[in-house]
Amino acid sequence: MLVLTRKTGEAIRIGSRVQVVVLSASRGQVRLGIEAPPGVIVLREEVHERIAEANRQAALGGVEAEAEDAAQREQTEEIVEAEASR
Amino acid sequence: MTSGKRICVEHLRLGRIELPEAEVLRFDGVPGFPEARRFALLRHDAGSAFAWLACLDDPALAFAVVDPLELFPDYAPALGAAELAGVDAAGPGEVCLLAIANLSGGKALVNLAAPLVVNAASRRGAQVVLADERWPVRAAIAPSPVLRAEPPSTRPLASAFPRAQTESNPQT
Repeated sequence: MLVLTRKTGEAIRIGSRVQVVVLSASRGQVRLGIEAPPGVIVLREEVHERIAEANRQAALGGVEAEAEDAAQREQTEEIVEAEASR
Repeated sequence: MTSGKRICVEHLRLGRIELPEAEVLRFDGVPGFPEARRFALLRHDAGSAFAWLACLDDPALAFAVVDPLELFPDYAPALGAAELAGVDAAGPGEVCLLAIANLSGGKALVNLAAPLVVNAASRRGAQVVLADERWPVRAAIAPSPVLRAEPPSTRPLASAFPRAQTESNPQT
């Protein structure tokens, strides 16, 4: 990860069209100002992660993985029952 | 009329997918799948509320999608100029809306918090995370529809979904 130190009022550039300015920093909180062209999505990480997690769960693999899990559970239960009745 | 190049992908979940390159939808990734850029929208059987959005870059990845306006008539996400610009659209009348459905657990839960915005003309798409927190990530629809496993056939996007009416201001 690239690490940069900036003072209040200083900025960084990401590519030629995205600018991030440090507006203020105090007591563990940093206020950032972001200039980005339309179409560049700027999100708080936790908001992005909430949607990413929803997407991962909704992805088709998720359905099959769950069906496999259920089949696995059933098998395990059958084994447990077979062993119990022995 | 020129017969453009055709794309053919052997999808691990949905089988063989073949469509004209001009019908491929282009995303700049979606949250959780940053490398997923090219998608094909595949219609289910007639009468099904669902379509597949199959990733052409990752043959294991596909999403079940719905027309959210059909299932949630009150759904009216506010799309800003920035979101529209992201798919090369000048106004909300130029885009279609889709919503990803999570079909695991025997229920269908629709993500209304982050709809897919697709420009049917430019074939550009983006998943837009709405600032309005009124719309849930998991909106339930009932009754739970049954998914069919057989490979669906492709149809043009424009005929698959009606145009979204997302804002009341007239298109200029």
